[in-house]
Amino acid sequence: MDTRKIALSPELSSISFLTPEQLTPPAGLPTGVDVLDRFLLWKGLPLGELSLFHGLPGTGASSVWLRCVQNVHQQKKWAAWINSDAQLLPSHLNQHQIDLKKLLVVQEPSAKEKLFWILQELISSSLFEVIGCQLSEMALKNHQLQKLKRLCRAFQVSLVFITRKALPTINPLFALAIQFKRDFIRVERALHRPTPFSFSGELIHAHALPQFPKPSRKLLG
Amino acid sequence: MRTLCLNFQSPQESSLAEVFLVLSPRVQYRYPQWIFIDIESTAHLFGGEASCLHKALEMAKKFSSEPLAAIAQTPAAAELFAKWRPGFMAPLKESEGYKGLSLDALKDLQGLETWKKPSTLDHMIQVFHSLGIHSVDGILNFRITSLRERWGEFGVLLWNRLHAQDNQVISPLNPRDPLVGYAYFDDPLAHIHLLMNALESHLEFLFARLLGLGRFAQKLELILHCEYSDKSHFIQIEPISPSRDQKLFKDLLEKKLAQTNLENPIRDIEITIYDVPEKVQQMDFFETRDRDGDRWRRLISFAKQADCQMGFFQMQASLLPEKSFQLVTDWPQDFNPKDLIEWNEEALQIKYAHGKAVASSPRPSLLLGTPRPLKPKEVQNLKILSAFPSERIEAEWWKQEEKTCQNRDYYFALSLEGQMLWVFKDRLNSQFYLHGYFD
Repeated sequence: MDTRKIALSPELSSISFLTPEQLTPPAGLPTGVDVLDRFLLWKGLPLGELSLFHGLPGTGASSVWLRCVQNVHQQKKWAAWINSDAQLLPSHLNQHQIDLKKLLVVQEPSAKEKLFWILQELISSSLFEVIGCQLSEMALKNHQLQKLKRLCRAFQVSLVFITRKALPTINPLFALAIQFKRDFIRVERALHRPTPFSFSGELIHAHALPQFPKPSRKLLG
Repeated sequence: MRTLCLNFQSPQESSLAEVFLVLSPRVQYRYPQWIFIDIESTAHLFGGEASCLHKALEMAKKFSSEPLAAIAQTPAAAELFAKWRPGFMAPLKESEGYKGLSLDALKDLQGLETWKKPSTLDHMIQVFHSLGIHSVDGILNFRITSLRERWGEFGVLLWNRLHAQDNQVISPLNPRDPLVGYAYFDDPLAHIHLLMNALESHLEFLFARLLGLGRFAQKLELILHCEYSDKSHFIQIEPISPSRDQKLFKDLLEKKLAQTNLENPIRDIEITIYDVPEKVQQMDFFETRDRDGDRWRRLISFAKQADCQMGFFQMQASLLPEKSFQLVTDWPQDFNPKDLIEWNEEALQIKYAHGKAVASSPRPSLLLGTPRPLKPKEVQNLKILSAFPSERIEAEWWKQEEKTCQNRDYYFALSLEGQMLWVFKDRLNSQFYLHGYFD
């Protein structure tokens, strides 16, 4: 149905409706991936919300997070990262203009219960704009995620979980859920946006391998 | 420094330390169940150490069924006594308190900083047993040099802690946790009395914190999330004047809850208290109360106490990727190795910077701590993206061993699942290893 043809009743015609341009979207941290930023309501990763990236390692999840950190560092703000069995490599970060003085790194805690405690401490320190947490599997319970979400809202922090296992169902506590696959990236859940939404993974891969010659990179596509 | 240590015997929240601010401003929490209070300068206000201990235990009983406490000269000894001799108040020469204590008690001689190498401590205990020493007081006869010779710095640390020489300082607590409570019910509640019962423990905790902080509650907000559907009830209580009257807030809450329809049972609750100072304070406009540096130091010290590694990346001049960095707690130095060129009259000397190539070498975003050997079938399934290696790392010829795996040809590879991998081939045994992901 074409909405433009609907005539407004006299009572409604006196009301000045807001246009989409006049609405202020909720705060977000741009990832630098234009397609993704344009699609999401927050124009990037949501601030004050939980996000989930899932997919096998080597498919681009941490690159999206790192791109977001690049932008955060440009604003002279801090980021934190929690390692899992694979850890971030500083020489890669250096090549991507990430300020190592503004990136706090936490090694994987020995006990699972400590992870929840560490996340609470990181969020409530109100030092960090974005926190990345790499997990081999989602070890946090539902009520713990709820508490983290509440803390994130209170301190306006974007908390991103990166897991290697594909999850069959997405917990509604995550405002944003993205799946990373072989050739494409699929936004599975994004508040107030039609999902699923897929785009080519090339955009991320090209960024991850800057030294790799362009013609050979076609193999990846 | 006279230290009172409380052992709650079950994990507690770090904000519990705020409750004990009534005893001293110097309070510290250590994960998961320990609270240390410096009562050196405040014990006399409560009528001596004995009544201070009694008061602390009374307060602790509200949050744990069987709390234990002890007083000693150092936090480490106080922790040991709080577990092994609860209620003990060590005299100034606390070594007398160690008489007859089993050697296993050494594991609790930690204080604000945990033992870094518990396995070394186990080894020490074994050695002492083999020497026929079965109680802690037997170790006091050893000289510091003997322990240093056998166990290095760890031995010195043990000697220092046993002789109250380990200087652990309890800093004044800087409260920063918001006054919030949260509860999740496995069995949702639909009855007002059950709900009030569940709320009571949270109110007790929050108001005890308010007392410790010396603040009043201005407003209380309660959000009740329902089990079926996303419905939630929002209740707000704001008495005419701010106070710490828990009963008043409880009565007002009960009245509001009575008007709430609980047909849809409650799955979880959130309570927030908005606090105000007891008296109006004149703050300095130009000085922020809490700076980034302070918060950062506090975070690091919390992590240290919980034995959790945290810090910044410091790059190092090493060609082996796994050795090219370490975590440091100080601000990292910039890594920009350059060849050193020295002019001496007409002579020119160039000193090569080791590891200069590291800064520009292609490196993956994620690195495995130890390279994982790939099975022949896994290698067959890999698509190696270049005929020649992207990088070669080679150890000096006199250090070449198969075990150390230091002769590597690195390649970019693509797995069947589309993962971009960083693999290397050991040139001595032709074995392929997975070393990282271009993630």
